Formats: sequence, C-alpha cells, structure tokens
Amino acid sequence: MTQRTEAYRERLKRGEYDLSWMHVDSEWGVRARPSKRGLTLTDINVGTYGVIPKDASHSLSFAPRGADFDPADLPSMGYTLNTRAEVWADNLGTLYEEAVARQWSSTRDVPWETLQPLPQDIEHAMCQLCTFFTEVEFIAGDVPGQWLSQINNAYHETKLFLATQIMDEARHLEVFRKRALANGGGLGKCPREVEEGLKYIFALGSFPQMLARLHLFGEGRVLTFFRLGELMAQNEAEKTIFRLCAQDESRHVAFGCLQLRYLIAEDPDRIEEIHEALDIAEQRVLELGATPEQLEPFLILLGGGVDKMDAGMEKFAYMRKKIVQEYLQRCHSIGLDRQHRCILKEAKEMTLI
Amino acid sequence: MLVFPSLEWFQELTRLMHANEAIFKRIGPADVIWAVEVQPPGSGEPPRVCRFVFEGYGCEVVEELDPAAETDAAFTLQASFETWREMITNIQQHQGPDLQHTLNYLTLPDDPIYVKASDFLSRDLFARYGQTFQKFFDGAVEIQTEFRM
Repeated sequence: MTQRTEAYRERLKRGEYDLSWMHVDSEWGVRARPSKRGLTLTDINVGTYGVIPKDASHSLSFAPRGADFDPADLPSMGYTLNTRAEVWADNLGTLYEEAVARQWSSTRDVPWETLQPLPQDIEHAMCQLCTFFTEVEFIAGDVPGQWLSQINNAYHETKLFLATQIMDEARHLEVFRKRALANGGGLGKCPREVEEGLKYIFALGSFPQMLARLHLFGEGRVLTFFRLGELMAQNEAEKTIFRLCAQDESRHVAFGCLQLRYLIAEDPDRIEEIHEALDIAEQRVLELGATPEQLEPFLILLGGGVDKMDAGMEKFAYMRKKIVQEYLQRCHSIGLDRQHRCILKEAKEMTLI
Repeated sequence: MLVFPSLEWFQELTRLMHANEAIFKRIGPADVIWAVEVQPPGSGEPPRVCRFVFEGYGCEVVEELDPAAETDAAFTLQASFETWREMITNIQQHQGPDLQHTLNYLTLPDDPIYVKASDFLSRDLFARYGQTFQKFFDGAVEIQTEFRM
C-alpha cells in the first residue's frame, strides 16, 4: 500500500470517508447534447473537453483529456506520438462514428448460400486470391496495433479509429479465410516475396511514414483490388464480400489521407519524410516484382479461365495503370506532389486532374 | 408508370429507400451529397442531373439541377441514357443486378459509368458507401418505368 492508501484505510476503520474527489478542477456542469444520430464523439467535444492540445508531451499517462490530474504525479507510459500535427486530423471523430456504425458480420451479412461449385481453375484462382488477401490483412491489423499504443491519450479519437481499423482488418482476414474454405477449394500458397514485401512495413521509422506506406500507398492499392474482386466475383456472396471490404478499406484510406494532409499543412518540413516512405514502397514493388501466386489468379478471374489469361492480362494492365493513377491523385489531394518523383513506370504517362 | 429519367422517378426511389429503412439501418448511416447525370442519346440535348443529399439512413433532399450549373456534390455518376436503361432494366428483370450490372462493375473501368469528382478523396466516397448506393438503386425493382429521353 502507498502512504495515501494506508492513511485512507485508517480513516475508513474510523468510519470516515474522504470525498475530496468531488472537488474537481476540471470543467464541470457539462451537458453535451445528442445530435440527430445520438450522442457522438463530436457532440461531447464541448468546452475544454474539445480542446485538442498542440503538444501533449508533458502528460504521458492514461488520464483522459480534460480530467483533473497532475501529470508530474502519474507514471509515464512513454508515448512517442504526442503532437497534434503528427496524429490528428479534423473529422476523425466522425470517421470513427462511421466505422462503428457500418460494421458488418461475415457470418450473417454475406449470402453464403449463393456459392455454387465453380470450374476448378476459377475456384483455385479465387482461393489463391483469398489466401493473399488474408496475408495482407494480417499485417494491416498488426501494424496499426503496434502504433496505437504509442499515441498519447489526449488524441483518443485517433486511437479509437485505429481500433476500428484493426477490427475491420480482422473481419477481412476472417471473411477471406471463410471464402477459401466454403466452396470445395482450400487455402493456397504463401510465397516469400509477398511476405518480404509486407514485413518491412514494421520497420518504418515514424507514424507519418507508416500512414504513407500502409494507408496512402498500400490500402489504396488494396481498395482497388477489392473493387476488382467485386468485378470478378462469380456469385452474390463474393460480390458482397468484396463490396463490404471495399467500404472499410476506403475509410482506412481516408483516415491516412486526412492525417497526412493535416500534417503537411501544419508541418511542411515533414514532407520529405513522407516522400521517403513512398520511395521505399515503390522501390520494394519494383524489386520484388509480381509472383505467379499474386498475378495469375487475377488473370484467370479477369479473363474467365486458364485458357483466357492473355485477355485477363490486358484487363489487368489497365487496372495497374488505374492503381497508380489513383495513388498519385490521392497524393495530389493531400498536397503531396508525387508524380515527378514516382518511379513506377505508369506514372510517366499520366495526366492528373 | 414513371418516366426515367425524371425527378419523379428519383423521388420514388428515395421513397422506397425510406420504406425499406431496415435494410439501410443494417448497412449503417451514410452522409454524402452526390449526383447522377443521364446523358441524352442525341447530340445537342442537355443531360439530366439529379442531386441527392444522403444523411443517416435516408435521403433528405432529391432535386433536379440545371445541367449548366456547378454541381455541389462529392461526385457525380455520369453515364449515357442507354447505360442507365440497361442497368435499371437488368435490376428489374433479376430482382437485383446480375454480376455484370452492379454499380461497381460498371464504374471500375471508368466506362460505361464514370465517377466524376474534382477532389479524389471525395471520389473515394463512392466506394466508402458502396453498399448503400447499390441498395438504393436496387429499389428500382419496384418502380414501373417508362424509359424516354
């Protein structure tokens, strides 16, 4: 026991209570009003509780924003992300509420009964694609998890959103595993190049670099892959899976883009750091190249079979250009002039809007 | 019988969205302002543009716009009259779109439906609320439609 709790125990033995906690220095008399949707995170950002500190590095404890506490008196959790510029964006509370409200269940919301036996090559391709997506979603959940525990609690909106992203990615790897095991196929191969291409994301040195690599670059690509999955889907179950996953992915992309846009506006000196992360991301794509396990399922599904892979290749080439265009357009939208520095060959041929 | 394209047709689609609120509640709320542009078959005729304000589980505003005016919307789904006719007819014939007539299928290659937006992050809202938009158009199953432009 501490001196304080020991003294309190003695008081309790004498039948005395303390109640000093009722005299708070925090803002009192708050009556946040529910909006049309109910009582949202934005609705409770009233008065001092809604003041987002520019720098919270003096307070590294679990104490929530606006509570009555002496930071010097509390143990430090060693948070490394303590500035608004690094971890904040406007509308994060709204994005979080959307994430919570638009959760879906892979058990109940996918019409699994619409799965029918498919030609063997098509089933193989879809199962291999699902295996790949499962790998991707493991890291897409693990990496935000690693950074979530580094964020100061003054920025709880950011932490809350990352928690929803981790839940989304869990649901994605769940649904892709289910699809692989639901229609006469199974899980496929996991090549070294895919794993190496994912693993290095853990090694990125800063939160903005993680946002650039994972959210802006990676989730943007995966969003288009999910939309492509919906296009290639063979039944209503697959259409639903890919459309619902694309919704979530789009939210993750928005989160990363909004944060990076805020950082670029607040602290333009960090632009080069973001560019460096994207340099590495693009370089890795070129170094590792495409494996047959990644590429050929797309060609089979886009073409309509093993005997139509050339036709699939033409469509996939179009999609590759689209992925690069969308990536550069998002960079442009957040205030990052990336096209001149992008080393992906498709970038040279593009006109951005 | 309602004519497509017309404000009345889209108003009916909105009425059906509200009548089927349980479906949209299951998907989750959507807050987005967007538009549909129907391009006429002949040249020289102006397109028809309809704007929707989605809020929560429903549509608060549906209005026809002057095609020459700037559209205050996150994005506009642009397509020819024939494309819209094919998609809606397909939905009506199959009680929902077949695999080649979902909104995503028709928009991903940027043709035959193009998602026009001045800011790419706004354009992403199409995918972010994709299930809502699909279910919205699926309401066409219940609209007796005459296609005329």
